[in-house]
Amino acid sequence: MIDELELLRQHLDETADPAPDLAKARAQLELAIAAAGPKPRSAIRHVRPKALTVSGLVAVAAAAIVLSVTVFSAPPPRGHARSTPPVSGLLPVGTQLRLLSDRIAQQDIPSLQSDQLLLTESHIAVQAQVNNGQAQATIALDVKRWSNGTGQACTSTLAQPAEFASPAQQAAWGGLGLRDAPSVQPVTGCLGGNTGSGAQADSLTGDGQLLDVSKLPTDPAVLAQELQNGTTGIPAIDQLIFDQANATIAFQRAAVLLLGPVVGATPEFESTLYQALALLPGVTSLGSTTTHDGQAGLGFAADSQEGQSAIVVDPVTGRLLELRDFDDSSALSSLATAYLGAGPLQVTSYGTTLQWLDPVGPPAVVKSADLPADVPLCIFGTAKPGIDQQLPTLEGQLDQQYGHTSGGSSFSGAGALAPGTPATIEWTFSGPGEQFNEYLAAARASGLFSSVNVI
Amino acid sequence: MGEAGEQHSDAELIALSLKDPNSFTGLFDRHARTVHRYLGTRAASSDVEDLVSETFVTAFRSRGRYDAAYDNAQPWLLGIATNILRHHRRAEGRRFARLRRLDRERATDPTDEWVTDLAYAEQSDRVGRAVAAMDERYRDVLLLLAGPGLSYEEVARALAIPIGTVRSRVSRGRAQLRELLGLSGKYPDEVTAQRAATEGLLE
Repeated sequence: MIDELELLRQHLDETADPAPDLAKARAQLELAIAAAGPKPRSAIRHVRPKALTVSGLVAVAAAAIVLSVTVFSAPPPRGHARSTPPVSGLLPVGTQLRLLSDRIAQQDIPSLQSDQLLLTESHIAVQAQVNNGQAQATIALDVKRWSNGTGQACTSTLAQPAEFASPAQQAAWGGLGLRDAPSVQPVTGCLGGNTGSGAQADSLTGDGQLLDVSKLPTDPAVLAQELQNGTTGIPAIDQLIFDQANATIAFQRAAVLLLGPVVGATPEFESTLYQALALLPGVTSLGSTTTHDGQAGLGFAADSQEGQSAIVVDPVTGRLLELRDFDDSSALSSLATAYLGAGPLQVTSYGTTLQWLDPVGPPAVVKSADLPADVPLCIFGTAKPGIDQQLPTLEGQLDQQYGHTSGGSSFSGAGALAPGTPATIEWTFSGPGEQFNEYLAAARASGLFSSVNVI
Repeated sequence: MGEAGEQHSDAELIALSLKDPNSFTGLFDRHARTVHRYLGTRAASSDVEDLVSETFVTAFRSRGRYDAAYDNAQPWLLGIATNILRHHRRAEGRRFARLRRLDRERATDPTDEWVTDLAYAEQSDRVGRAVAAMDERYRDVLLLLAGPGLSYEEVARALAIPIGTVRSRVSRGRAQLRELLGLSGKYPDEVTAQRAATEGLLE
């Protein structure tokens, strides 16, 4: 007689690939490991003031995520009437930062309706070095980001063809199995779900976690101490993988918080952050500093043996204008792997230098329906406690009733990522439409979620 | 990973990889074939390699959250693979759409009725089409049980669902698979005994 499970086993045995080719998968894992590994020694160090600790083509994407700073920190429109005098770059660094702390406290944090998104755009330049400088290229990125009020976002990244200092460098780049331009354009994705799967879920810190700053101390001295010790309670901040000898780590942690994406930010939070920066050892003033795209700002930097990381802020509003020479350990493999050629991969280590990141103009509030057609639309649902096992049932029901979503769905059970994390589900759509509306209405009507967010 | 890697449990390798990321390749060498085989049952062959890659890259980046109480990381990896499959449902859909199409084509032939003495290849097609038609939640648990041979507890861990849910899904999934395979009616005593023996092994 026949046992269905035995039949299934036989079927699986029969259809299994007896000799799977795992070389490419292993190479891509090694690529991710190289990105998170020890800092490659690059020839770039000899010509630049700073070589970054965590790097890789993947950090190109990290740089893309860095633009999240513009969500809440973009400059006012040019020509904006300013009645408040700028903070002078001739003042002592602590005085500058304390004055800027007062300025930033007066800035509004944009609030969005549920059907609105904040659109920001950044231009980024990244220098990539592979195999300890065996090949080098400069890559320019144009990154657009649509963020909602709860931290989720969609991004669309366009990368210009890599530029090389010489034909020999270009040949070396290609010889390592890399493409001059990414194979996919634009690279799009959703950020901020708690599903933890897929490269598209990456954040600045590489693991898709949102930065909830609502519980950070309001005492600048306490915050400064926590930034130095890595005890902020935000794992993505505390566990940043920088060179431990790097004296700029507290400064860089503060910069990550300025960049976001963050949840729970208030003008008071940013004000406290500036005051904490004033208390960090080794933070120096660069005085009046012009950003890459010509905006006048005040520069602040932290030196280390490796070089210098810097931020440039608006001297009137205190808003962040630019990042320079910024380290990050995050990875967005979808962008990195887009640079892999068809031939054998010869990359053993790689790194990048974020040369600069400039917001392009002020952020704009747009309707969700205005997302470009090639940018995915996502519904993020966070389950109420104790009912996560019902989510797959709902997922199946909606699947049957309204059809598969074009971008698929992702379910993560309670505690799947870390103890205490709620179950989440994420549906991805190629764009707005009837199916999106049906899923959204059904998710909200299900009563299973503590929150349903759309991006 | 060399011989040193063989001396460590999965949990130890993961812990080592927090300081020496290259140690994580030992986990790949140990489990990549199983993950590939599991994904190969659920996705189009053209997608499997990328899905294996994504599984291990995701695992690498999530390794800081691995629960070191579990020496064997295979359920964890297969859980990540399952999540990624859900995220890339289109990949799975391409495989199953082809199988469903085959099913429709066959259905137009009134003489094509499945019987137990057909060639095994045809049985296999039939099983594949039945799996394609299954409810996804049942498919998840049955494929994890029958393929990599996870225990009920390991399936629960992989899918982050209670073990009671695993048991009920196995039961309902088997019933659904049996129905889809045309093995209608109650289980003959012989099969019931076989099932009991099988479940004993799985438990």
